[in-house]
Amino acid sequence: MAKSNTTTKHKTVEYGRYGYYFIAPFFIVFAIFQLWPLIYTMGLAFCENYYDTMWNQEIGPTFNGLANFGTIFKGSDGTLFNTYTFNALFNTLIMWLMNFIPQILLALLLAVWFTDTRVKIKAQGAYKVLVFMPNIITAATISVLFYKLFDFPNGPVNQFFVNAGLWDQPFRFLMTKWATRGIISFINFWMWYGNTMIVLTAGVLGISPSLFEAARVDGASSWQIFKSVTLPLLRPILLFTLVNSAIGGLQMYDIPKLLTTSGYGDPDYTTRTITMYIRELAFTGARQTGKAAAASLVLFVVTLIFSLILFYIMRDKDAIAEKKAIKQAEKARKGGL
Amino acid sequence: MNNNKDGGLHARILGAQIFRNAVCIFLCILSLIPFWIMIVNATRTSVAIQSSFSMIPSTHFSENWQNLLYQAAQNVSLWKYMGNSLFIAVGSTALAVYFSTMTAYGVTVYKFKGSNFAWAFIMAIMMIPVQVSTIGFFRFMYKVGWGNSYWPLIVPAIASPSTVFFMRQYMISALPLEILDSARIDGSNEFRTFNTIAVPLMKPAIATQCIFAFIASWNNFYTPSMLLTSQAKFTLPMFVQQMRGERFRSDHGIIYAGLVVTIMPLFIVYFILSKYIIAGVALGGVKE
Amino acid sequence: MKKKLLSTLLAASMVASLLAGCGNGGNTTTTPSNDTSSTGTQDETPAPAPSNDEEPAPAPAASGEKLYVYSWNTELGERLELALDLAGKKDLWDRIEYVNVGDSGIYQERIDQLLTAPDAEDYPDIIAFEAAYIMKYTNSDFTLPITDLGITDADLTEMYPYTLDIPRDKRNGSIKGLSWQACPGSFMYRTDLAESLLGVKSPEEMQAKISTWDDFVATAKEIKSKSNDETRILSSNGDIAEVFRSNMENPWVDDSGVFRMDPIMEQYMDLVKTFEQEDLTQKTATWSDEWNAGPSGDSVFGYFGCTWFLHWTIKSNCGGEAPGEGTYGLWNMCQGPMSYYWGGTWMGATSGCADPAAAGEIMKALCCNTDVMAEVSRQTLDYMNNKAAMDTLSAEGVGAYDFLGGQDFIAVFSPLADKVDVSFMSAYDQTVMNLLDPQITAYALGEKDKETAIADFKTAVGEAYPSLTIE
Repeated sequence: MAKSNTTTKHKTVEYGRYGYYFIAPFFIVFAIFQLWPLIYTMGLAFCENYYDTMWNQEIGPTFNGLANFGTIFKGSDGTLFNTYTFNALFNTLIMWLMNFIPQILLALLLAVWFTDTRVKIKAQGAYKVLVFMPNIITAATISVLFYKLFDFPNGPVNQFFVNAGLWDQPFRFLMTKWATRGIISFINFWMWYGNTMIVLTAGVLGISPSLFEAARVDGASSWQIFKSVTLPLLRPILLFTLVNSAIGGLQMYDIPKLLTTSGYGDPDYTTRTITMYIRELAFTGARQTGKAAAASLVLFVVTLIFSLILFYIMRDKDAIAEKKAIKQAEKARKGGL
Repeated sequence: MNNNKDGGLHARILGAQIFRNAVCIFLCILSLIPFWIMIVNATRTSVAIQSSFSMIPSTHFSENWQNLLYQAAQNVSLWKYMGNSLFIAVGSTALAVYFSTMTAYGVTVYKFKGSNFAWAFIMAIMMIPVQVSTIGFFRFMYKVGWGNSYWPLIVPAIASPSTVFFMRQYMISALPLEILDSARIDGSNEFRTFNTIAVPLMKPAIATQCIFAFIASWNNFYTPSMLLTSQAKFTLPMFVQQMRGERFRSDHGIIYAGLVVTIMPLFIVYFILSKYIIAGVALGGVKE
Repeated sequence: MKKKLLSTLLAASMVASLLAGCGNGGNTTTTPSNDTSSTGTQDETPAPAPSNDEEPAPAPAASGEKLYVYSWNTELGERLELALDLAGKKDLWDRIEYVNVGDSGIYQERIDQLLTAPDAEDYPDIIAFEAAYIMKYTNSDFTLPITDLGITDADLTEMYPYTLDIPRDKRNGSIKGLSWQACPGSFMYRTDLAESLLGVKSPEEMQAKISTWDDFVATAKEIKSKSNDETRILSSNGDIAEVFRSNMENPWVDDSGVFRMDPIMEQYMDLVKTFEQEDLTQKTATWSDEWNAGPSGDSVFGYFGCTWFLHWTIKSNCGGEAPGEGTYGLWNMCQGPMSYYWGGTWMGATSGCADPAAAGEIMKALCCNTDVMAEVSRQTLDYMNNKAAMDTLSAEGVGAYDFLGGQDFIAVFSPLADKVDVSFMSAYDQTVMNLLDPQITAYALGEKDKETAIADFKTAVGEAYPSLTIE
């Protein structure tokens, strides 16, 4: 979305039409397989459409304006946003933040370590390959394994703490709100920090070595260099990572769905994500396709706004950040003297 | 800061090296634990798996393995399921990666009316939740007679927005437009330029997206389950789920053996491509 | 250029919408007959597939056509193969394409989707239902009355009446499905622990110790203290869910669409809270690994389970395969505080079934033929939905079960099966029970008071079924 015109420096006018040919397969296949269901779904958001469970009959779809959005935004007690939808959206955001913040911090730390020219880590190739590996198992398998690890009352984690005498009795990890959220966030963190680290490592390597050199010669400490040189110059990549992770994070589904006993966001829906809720609406109970479509649309708009804000910040600060970094590098140099 | 003696500095670097390596080794172990548990469980009996947790392999692997082969042979054979998965994964990966590179090339190299819109559109698709529209997709596939067929599992891969996104990021930093210009001067037509010059330059990104697309397709359980009917067409994860689905009498040893078998091809592909992947992920994220 | 692209896109999406629109748009009701219009393609054409081991295209003659039978695991297939073999109808088995979806969660989604595609080659002819959601299908036009399959009242005489009440279409009273099993429940307990902890020597004495829920709680406390906290009466707090559900006076939702919470469910909530607060069960989650491992050790005294549960859950997890191994042979059964019923699988023919007569033959072989059913039970120990067959087997002594130390399981289940009354069931049960669970847990753990838990439960039901009146 950002700067697709970075490539227009040279004249390609006479070749422009080839652009259509190159993107045609994508759009044709998209139109055939995805577009219609998508448009239809968007339409359903403004329709009453569900199944009468008693006689298993489809009701609608009949146009009902914004009624679905009404039930999404306004709770049964009349309070705005006090609804399952926004509750699920909130859970999703919380669990995304809980995994993204530590993920980016650890990835940054490792990226700095791996690019440190003084303290060389020789085995970093192997480390990179290995920490990236959780990406290749299915979420289903990982969830089952973690479920077993934190099982109550006699899962290995509980056994460890009880046998070590640290706890009097086992702890219900997966029936406690913050413990369950923490475990879900940890799994996501652990699956993805390797990926983020590799991206950031490349980002650090892309920073002109002369800047580090200059700062170091002037006696800036490692922390000063990190704060004043690395971080500002890494900003565009950090934001790219942020957007990517936010899009994925807002659609978080498998792990919270499969980790808890019931699959409905134990305990008491506090780990139910927005996509879990959308699927529940569409496939269980009265199979409320209309409301599920409306909730999907809300999620789409939230993601879009979120991303646009991030892209906007990034575009604005791009050049400024670079200038500022150079200035700060100079300042750091002076400070170090 | 500056008054460290040489020896002191050296000792500190050594200390830092040991500390940092220790942290990295710890993280690697953390990453390997689930694989280890899976492999260990594949060597244990079902009763043992249910009643206790263990990190020490037992001796029942060949038994579980034989049982797995036997269970698979009730219908077709384990290799058949694996072949089916392979067919779908290779097919969809090839299409996804080739056409995504092509699409990214289209919006990156050419300037045409609507190219910005096309790019914005592709980005927007990434953000749309698909939970509800899949219902329509399945119905449509049945309407056109593509139920119980591999086509809907392979062909739609041509439109993979996130692969396009990644490819474009990579292209901006790794594809010098000058090379394309000189190819034009030499009289190469646009498609030949793409196939013979651009694609080879994109190798690391292609390798990366190959493994991602392959993993996604190989591990996909939901879509094939909603579309395939004949047991002879089932995929490996569908077969493993059948073993699991026997809720009242599932043999956990067999299930874990099945999971290990499922993951082995991914291991192999991953290690072969890992060198490229690490380079590819890195470059894909560098410029935006 | 732009125009060209636009027109291509437009054309493509129009084709797509035309094709898809027929099934989706407008006020399409889900009666399959309305859906047969559309593109009018592929009635016979098998779906194209790149795979080269396509099964042969269905033969044109209706008699030889494939019959698609859908289920979520191998059980029904195994039973059908056995029964059709015993009934001398192997040709029918050869016509069956048995589809094991493998995941009971996805099963309903898959069936719902297929039922809207009557033209598809793999459109189901027979579908299996679990008790938890069968009514969704039998009270609709998706299934055929068994009278259309050539099954008469004479075929149903030996069945337990409740197995016919469940699949009875509420609109006209026609029966839409048949089951080969009967699933009354009992309390299954460890004889050795009963003797050492409670001094109980027979099922009758055990029954006396747990004939009411107050007795049950008292006995639970006794087991806990006498075993020095080593043994609990149950594994999971939720193990009594099916017992209480079966004993509701009224269904969750009545025929006029009003949702009510039966008072007995409050008793259930309180009991779970007692179990939790007084530490009377092992507090595992039902169906978890640890819960499954219970029968192999001494940590669990008993389980509430039904006919299939005895073989597939207790026996297969007891840690042995013959008396003397694990806890094999150390189990007995008694009724428990309330008689109840749990689960079972039904079969029904779909309204678009290619060959209703053959479907009827298939269902009759497994569900109506006394001799075949007796033999199936001999081989599998299934408790069959056939009184005559079970009486014969009991008389033959087949019921004396070495796993139960020689107790006759048929003699225990038989009177319980007669008692089963399924007036508590409705099409909403599966979802409603799923919604009740988290609230009971919150209440039992002391995170919510009862009023809040019930109010939250009702809110959740209202959200799941906006058209219901919640009382």
